[in-house]
Amino acid sequence: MSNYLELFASRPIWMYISILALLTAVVILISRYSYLKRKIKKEAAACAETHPSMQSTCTFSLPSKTLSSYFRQIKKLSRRYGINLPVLMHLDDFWIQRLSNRPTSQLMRKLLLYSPEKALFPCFQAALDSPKRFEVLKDWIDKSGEFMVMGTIAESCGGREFDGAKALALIAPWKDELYEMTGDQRWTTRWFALRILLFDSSERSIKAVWAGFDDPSHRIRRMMANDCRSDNESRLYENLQNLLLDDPVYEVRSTARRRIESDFLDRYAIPSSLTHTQKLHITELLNPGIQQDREYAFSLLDGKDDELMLEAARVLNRSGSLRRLFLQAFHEDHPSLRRTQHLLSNAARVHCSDFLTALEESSNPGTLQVAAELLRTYGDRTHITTLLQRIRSLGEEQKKREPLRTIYLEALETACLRGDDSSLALLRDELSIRREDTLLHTHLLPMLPAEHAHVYINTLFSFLYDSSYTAKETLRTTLSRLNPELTLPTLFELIKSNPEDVTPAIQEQALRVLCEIGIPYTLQHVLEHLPLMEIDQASRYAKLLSEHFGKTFQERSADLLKTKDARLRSRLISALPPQYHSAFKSQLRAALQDADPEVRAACSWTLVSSGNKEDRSQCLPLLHDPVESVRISTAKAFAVHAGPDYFGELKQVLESKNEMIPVQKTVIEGLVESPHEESVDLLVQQVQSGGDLQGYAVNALRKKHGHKMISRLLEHIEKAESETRSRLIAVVRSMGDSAESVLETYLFEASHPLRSIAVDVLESTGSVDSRIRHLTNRDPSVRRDAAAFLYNAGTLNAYRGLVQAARDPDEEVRAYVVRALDALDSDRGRTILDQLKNDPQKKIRTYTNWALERHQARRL
Amino acid sequence: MISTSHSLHQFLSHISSSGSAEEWSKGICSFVSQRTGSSLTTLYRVPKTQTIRIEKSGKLYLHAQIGHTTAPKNISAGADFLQAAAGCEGAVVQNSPEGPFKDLLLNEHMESGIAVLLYATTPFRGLLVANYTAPYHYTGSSIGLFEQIRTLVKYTPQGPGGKT
Repeated sequence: MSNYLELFASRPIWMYISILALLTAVVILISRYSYLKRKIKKEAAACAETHPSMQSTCTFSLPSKTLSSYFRQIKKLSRRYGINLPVLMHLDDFWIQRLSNRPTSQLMRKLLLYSPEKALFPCFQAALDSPKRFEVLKDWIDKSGEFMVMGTIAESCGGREFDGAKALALIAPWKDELYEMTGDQRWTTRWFALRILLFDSSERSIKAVWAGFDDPSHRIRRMMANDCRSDNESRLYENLQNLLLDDPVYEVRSTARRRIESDFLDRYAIPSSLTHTQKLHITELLNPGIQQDREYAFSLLDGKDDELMLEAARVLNRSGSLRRLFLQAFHEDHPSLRRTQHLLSNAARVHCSDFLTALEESSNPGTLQVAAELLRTYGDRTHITTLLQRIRSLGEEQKKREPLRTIYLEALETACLRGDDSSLALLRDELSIRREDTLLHTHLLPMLPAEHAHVYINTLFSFLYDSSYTAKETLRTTLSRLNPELTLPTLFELIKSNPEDVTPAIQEQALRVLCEIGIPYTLQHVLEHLPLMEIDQASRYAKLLSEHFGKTFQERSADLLKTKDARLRSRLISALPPQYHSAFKSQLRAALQDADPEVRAACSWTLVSSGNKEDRSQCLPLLHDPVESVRISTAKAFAVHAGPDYFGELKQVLESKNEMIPVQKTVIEGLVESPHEESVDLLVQQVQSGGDLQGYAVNALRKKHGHKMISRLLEHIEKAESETRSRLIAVVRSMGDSAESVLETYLFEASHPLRSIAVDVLESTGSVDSRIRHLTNRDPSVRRDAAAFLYNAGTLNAYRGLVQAARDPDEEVRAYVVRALDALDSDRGRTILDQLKNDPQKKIRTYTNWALERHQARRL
Repeated sequence: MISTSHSLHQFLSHISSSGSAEEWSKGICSFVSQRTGSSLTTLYRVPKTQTIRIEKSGKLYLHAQIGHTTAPKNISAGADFLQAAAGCEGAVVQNSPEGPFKDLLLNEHMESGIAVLLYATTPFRGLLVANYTAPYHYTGSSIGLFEQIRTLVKYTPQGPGGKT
């Protein structure tokens, strides 16, 4: 005993601990094994007790892996209870998964025994890689007694992928069955058979495979497109092309397309005649990497079919072709630029405008021009901001000169037409910086969108404050069409400001805008502030207000005429539209005696211009008013409006030695505007009488270029003595083309009494010389007109020039020459011919002799 | 004095008939001589190498003559009367030896003359010249006749045979 104790004591303690641990583990394992075994038995028994129809809902608490390790016990329990425990425990799923990872014959047997329907295809796949496993499958097939064993496998397959080539080698005994399966109604069966027959080279198989291209199932057609191999490449390509063009399923078409690209690129050609659907099918799968496809896409983009255009644009957009086209636009090559614009517009029209993002990296003028054009209608509005950033970065000189000036303007127009707040803010800044560019402002201001006025309204008012700003009229029109909420407060503030804060010119502009807005509640403001305007502007705007407000205008005006303020009354009287003169007649007549000269002057102007004889007579005394300004206003009113009945009075003013020159000058200025011919007589009298007024009268006559006025002047020239005549001819000469065209009309009227004087004047103004020069013009019509003119002028100088055209290639011109020479067969003509006989040019002399001898002969 | 559409009708039938160039030229000269009572009527031919407007350096050659007095074998194309006839496209007249177109009188015995250029396409372009031994023989009617002849020759649709 002591020996045992000594032996026990002599061993190290760790050894005893290890032994103890090992024993504990063994005990635990045994306990666990017993426990699990009992648990499985208990759960299997519970399951067996449930109704057969409820067995599928049996639950087992242990995982499949654990259960699988107790297969022997489960097998025994299955036999005992007569139920398929492996399937109820879902062990078949676990085994199928394991078979795919580590296929074994034993596993296959278990699966084919307990769950053949579910496991048949996985077993079939596992068998393809091992003859031994195939023997297991074959053995099962033999024992199963299945009539159509391949059909069963196919059903189990369910269209899943497998290696058909390997299968072909193993299923030789059932090959005939495969042929029968190609006609089965279930697509899975046909799929399984064709999957194997694809790799068979027998004629029967090949025939079955070709038929597969027309199979009703898209999965089979897709498999054909992807996997079919044939020595007859033409037929295969043809079938693939048919699938690509005509198959209604996208997956099939795209598979056919991929196959063509991978194996038949050398044969690939887009047929020239395609139906609309075929075009759509081929377009959606175009490969932008292939030149032929790109060209085809561009041809569709150039067409008229939006559906095809959309597909083409998507392809070209995806490939970056549109972007390149956009970036390479060349603004100096107009045909190419137009085509680029057309193509990109078509793309943008079908909402493929991604290429516009390239604006961020380009300042190419062609690109900017195309963008400006496109963005007016299509594309994301945010690109307009980028466009404006680009064109704003152009140099100052570039913005002023063509061709970039046009591009610059077009881009700004685009911002007006379709820009958002940010692009309009850029436009506003550009207008502000370039406020001296009148053309730019007159062009763009009318285009500014009223709905975005909050962006630029302050800038527009800054232009109104700027006295040097030149596009004021356009500015006023622009302000007047904006929402009054934005403009009225500022306009009222301006009109009512103290003169030291705001200049009268700005106030006038503000008032004019207010008139143009034309809203009733501004009427009183406008009328009270009429004195801010010049008289002609006040008249214009008073007319505008009366048209807008009618009766209210009359009532307010009547009230204001009763007020004390002379300045306001005078301006209102001057500005009154003629249709109100009769209504205010009594007030106006009374105002002729007003103490304020400004009111008297305004009254005389208004009453004389109204056309009433009685009113005019009442105004006559004002021609002698003690205040010069009243006399000036009255004299001008009579000169402009009154007519010949009052020219005697005006003549007295002009001849009066006591009258001041400014008054007399005003009469002459008024006569320029007079529509009566007698005004010319009065002015000619001033030219004849000389003195201080002669120069003014000559200047006034120069401005009367009407037909009647010139005729009247010619009558005076005809009768005038030499000095006056030369002065008056100088007047006509200074009138230029307008007078010449009037004088020419007399030239063609042989019996007109003013013809000869018209000819003289035309000759003195150099018109004859000018027409002689026209005889060498390359245009026959110009030469004909010149010859007709010269022939009708009939002067020595004219004929001399015309004779030189004797060899003109144009017959009509030559006819004028001969008529001219024949016309010289008169006493007057004889004189001209005698002069031409001594002409320095021999040709002229020769022709003259020719004419003279003929005249002599005719007289015999 | 000269006129009548009847005589012009005869002339028209002559110039439109076929025949040699000599016969055509003789026929014109004969007709003119008869109608104007001229002492000497000639037709000078413009060489084909010359332009329509007659080059001044060229010459015109005598092709037909009616009258017993002599006529020069050729006329300088630079003669003033010829340039006037070409430039003004009308008949040139001179009714006295002191007139401006001395070359128009074909010899020293002639004192009045008239000429016109004929723009016939076939057989040739020519210068028709008539002279008379006394001054002031040719009148407005002569001018009218010569210009009518010119127009008829120019616009006659079918000319002579063209044999030269």
